[in-house]
Amino acid sequence: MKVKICTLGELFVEFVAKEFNQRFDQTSEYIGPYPSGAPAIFANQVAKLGFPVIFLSCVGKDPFGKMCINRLKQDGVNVKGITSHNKVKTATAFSTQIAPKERSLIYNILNSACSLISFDHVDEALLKDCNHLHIMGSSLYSFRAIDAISKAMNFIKSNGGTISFDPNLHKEMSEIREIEQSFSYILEYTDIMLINEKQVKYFAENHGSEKEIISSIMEKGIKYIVVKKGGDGANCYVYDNRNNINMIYSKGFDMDIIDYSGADYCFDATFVSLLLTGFTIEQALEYANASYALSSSCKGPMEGTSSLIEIQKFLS
Amino acid sequence: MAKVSSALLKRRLEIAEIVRKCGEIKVDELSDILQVSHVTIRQDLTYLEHQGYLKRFFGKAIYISPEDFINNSTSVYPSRLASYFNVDNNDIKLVTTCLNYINNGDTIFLSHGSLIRKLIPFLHNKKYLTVILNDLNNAQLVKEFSDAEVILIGGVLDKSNVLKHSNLSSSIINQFSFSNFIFEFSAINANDYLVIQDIEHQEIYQQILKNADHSIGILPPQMKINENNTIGKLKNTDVIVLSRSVVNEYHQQLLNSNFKQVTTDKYCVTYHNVLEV
Repeated sequence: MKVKICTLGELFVEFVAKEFNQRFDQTSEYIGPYPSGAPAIFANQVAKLGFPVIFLSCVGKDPFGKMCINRLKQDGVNVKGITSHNKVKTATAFSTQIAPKERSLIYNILNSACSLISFDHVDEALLKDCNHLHIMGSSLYSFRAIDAISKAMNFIKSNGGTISFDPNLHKEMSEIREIEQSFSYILEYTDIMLINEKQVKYFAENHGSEKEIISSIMEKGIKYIVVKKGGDGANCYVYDNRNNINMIYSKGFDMDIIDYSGADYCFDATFVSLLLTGFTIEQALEYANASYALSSSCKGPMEGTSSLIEIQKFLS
Repeated sequence: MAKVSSALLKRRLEIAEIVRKCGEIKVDELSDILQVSHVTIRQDLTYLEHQGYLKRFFGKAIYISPEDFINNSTSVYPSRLASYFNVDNNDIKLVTTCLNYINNGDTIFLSHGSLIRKLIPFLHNKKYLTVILNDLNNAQLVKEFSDAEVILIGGVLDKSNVLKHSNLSSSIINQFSFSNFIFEFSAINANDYLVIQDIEHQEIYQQILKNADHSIGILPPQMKINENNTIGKLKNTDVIVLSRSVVNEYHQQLLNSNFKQVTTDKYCVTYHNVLEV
């Protein structure tokens, strides 16, 4: 099946702390700017795999914004949906790794160009050929952004398309009041859910095992739920032809982790785009795990996206 | 996460859609449409106002676009209301910079549009001008404010009273020697081409830019542009006047194209092409 994917949300530059556990309140070195943003990294990985993808966002008319647009365009992302604005600056983030797979961030999204992502920003003419929308939970940072995503979601669904959703929960999102309601709303439309294993419990109505929690989420009509375990692989839950929930496991790959930021989004992009183009669940998971591993071996949020050939070479 | 209903969010999305489509709407009307109490509507509107989505005035809700919100973050009124009370002096400062380059006896072509229009009253100090335009409204204003000879060229009149380019206008333009071509543009693209807003004027401005002795481009603040309507290379322009808000974006590009910053004030920055001037 031919796939054309769209995604929308935050696009920013990231400055990464040079040292592990570097404090924000002390003068230190940072490396950057790197183009970043969960949906942007997702789009970049889809494009690197060779699939058409369009990304909608807003940046400032400044060197940071130009850098982000040029990088995405160079890697094959359709950037016609990214607008540049005079009166606001491109969003920025500073990050530091505080544990092997945990980062702390200080970012400026709401008072930046990203605040201009809105209902009117979603151009249906640009989305008309898309048959899939991916949503990152981190893109639900304001009512306007939720409104924009809602428009895109309804448009894609009304044209017979599918939706994938990664809640992408991180501790900085606890300030956003709309999060729980917006998760609940989006799950009503979701066909493929990708969730980090540490976040599964967030969706539990009662205590239970991973399988029990996932089963209760699947009752909303979600067809695939992938629980990502980082370098330890992933489980994919899906209904079989007897309406029972099956779990398919695919192992991860041992790699020296240099920078895992962005790796989750590479996993999402690889799994979603390959599944939609006809790969089996097992194949899609295997490639997605490889994509995660390759991304973790590079410094920088978007620097580890891989082509299909690079993934195949890694797997061989 | 306990089971959380998305009903509240959905109702607010629905209110947002109604306010956006109507522009403004009363609390009573929203309450009737959505079949919820006034109290509930007011709570929803308070939330949406806090999100910067709308403003509440005397029982009504008025939509604020994201651009209005950014432009008027310290203002009580959305810009389309504020425009009734404010005059934008920045535009006037942008265009009056051009007066330094207009001499008595010049033949000048003024591009269409409301920005160039603001220059016209200041032409009364210049003598023996020939002013050529493709904008009927601006032509009438030149007649009011100066004793210049006014020549209107073009073809079919569009709804803004601007004459669209035709083959006839090309041959007429060739008969003139332009001392100055003063035009408004929207952007400088990554390939150093000047971009204008309207494709209808692309050909005529390309022609004049090539032929004019001296050209002055004015770039006001812009929100959205179509990068395909180019009229010529930046290096073929003599003077560029940038509004303050776009200087950061284009300063380096101008320096790379042999432009030098010559004057600066709080409204605009003027650059000269050191190879042309």
